[in-house]
Amino acid sequence: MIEALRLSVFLGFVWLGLRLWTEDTGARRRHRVNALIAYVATASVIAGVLQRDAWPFTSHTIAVGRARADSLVCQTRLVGVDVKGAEWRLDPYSFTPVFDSILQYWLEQALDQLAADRRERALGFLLQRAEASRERLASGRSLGPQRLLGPAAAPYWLLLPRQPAASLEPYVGLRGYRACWRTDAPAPSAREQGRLIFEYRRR
Amino acid sequence: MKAALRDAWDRVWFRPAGPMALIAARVLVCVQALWILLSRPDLPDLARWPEEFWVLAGQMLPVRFGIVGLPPAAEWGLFVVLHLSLVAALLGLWCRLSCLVAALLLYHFAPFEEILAGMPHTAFGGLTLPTMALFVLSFAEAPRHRGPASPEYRWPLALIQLLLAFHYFFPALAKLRFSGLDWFTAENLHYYVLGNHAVTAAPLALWVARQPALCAALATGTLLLEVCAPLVVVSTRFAHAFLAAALAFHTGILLVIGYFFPSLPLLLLLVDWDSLGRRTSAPSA
Repeated sequence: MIEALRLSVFLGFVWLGLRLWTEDTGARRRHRVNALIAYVATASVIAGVLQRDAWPFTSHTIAVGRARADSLVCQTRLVGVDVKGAEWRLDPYSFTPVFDSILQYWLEQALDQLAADRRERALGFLLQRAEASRERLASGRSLGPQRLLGPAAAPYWLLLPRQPAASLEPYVGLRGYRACWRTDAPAPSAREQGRLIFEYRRR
Repeated sequence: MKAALRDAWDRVWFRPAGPMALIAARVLVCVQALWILLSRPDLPDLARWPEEFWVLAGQMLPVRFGIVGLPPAAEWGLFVVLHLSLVAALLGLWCRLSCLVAALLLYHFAPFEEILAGMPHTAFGGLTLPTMALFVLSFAEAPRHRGPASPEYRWPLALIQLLLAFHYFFPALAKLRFSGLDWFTAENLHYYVLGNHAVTAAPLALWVARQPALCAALATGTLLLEVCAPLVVVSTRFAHAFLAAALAFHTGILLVIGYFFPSLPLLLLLVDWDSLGRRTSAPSA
């Protein structure tokens, strides 16, 4: 229902705009332009003030919480496991077009909702993607935004550190670790991965 | 009072403007969209992701954006059409139609990047303003190069600039709603910078976090910049000052927090391109 409402907000915008195509001049056109401006401003203000996102009328909600010394920062860290059993932290663009932080959220929220066979299928797919990205990195090719535009490319807005090193051996497993730490404490190092929350091995 | 308000409304939205600013706006949003899309060259590949990954998105959210299980080849075809329509709009070919096609396809593809997680930050992906702007440009009269000044060249640009200003104004409202004025304090910024440093390792984070006075100044500056943003529609002089301040603001965020603002080039929408055009085309004395 809510998605239908959001769609109708967007369709209302398009309808008001397209009405201008049939009115080239005069007071009626001015009236229609005013209606379009008022509609865009109102829909945007409702999204912004009430914090009800209806993209592309958006609430622009980012970095809104208060940070304190005891605020917890949590991260799901993904590593590939090569045939020798070594762990390699995956580049945040390994699962392109889905960025690392989006996949983190999906893993935290969705993985446990899946039945065992569907979970295996999802993790198997992610391992395939991680392996394809490993091959690219290992052969000296770029990953993520840089593939076509090189250094001129636009990165994802959250600048997670890149992981240029990749195993020369194929990945046969994928692990996810959950790490949390207080704002006023140093983050766990790359070696201290955190608590293992899933592991998938190629069958 | 009513007449004064109507005059103010007309001055903001319908004072005659030359075509150059609207042409520049079209070029800027097309270049911006192409820049983001060419930086995400495999967006349609999401169509190949197994159904398991769509569990958070549900059924209706994808449908809202026309993501209805088209075969990957069809999504790739649409992606090519999107690029072609953006190039056509950039060159001013079949202006209204190419802008409309590009806008509709951006509306379809922009959510791809985050739809699996329910689109938490699609607004910051760099395609929100191009999507809205291309719709507005498709509704408006296509500007003719060297055409006479017209109110028809003013309102679309002012509307696009207002949408740009909302990128700043609404985050301020959100901060005030969720954290109140306490968000804009040195202490909050200190811990916010520290918390993000652990994730992004931004180069100036630790140094800034150690400077309480600087944290306080940055917090106050953030409030002022974000709350005053809508004034860019009212005053060209303010818009130019805002452009410079916003550039510094985003550079600071990049270095201190590690957030990149993909819509940064769209700040050029605040440049008075009409005046620039007149100055460059005026015969020298």
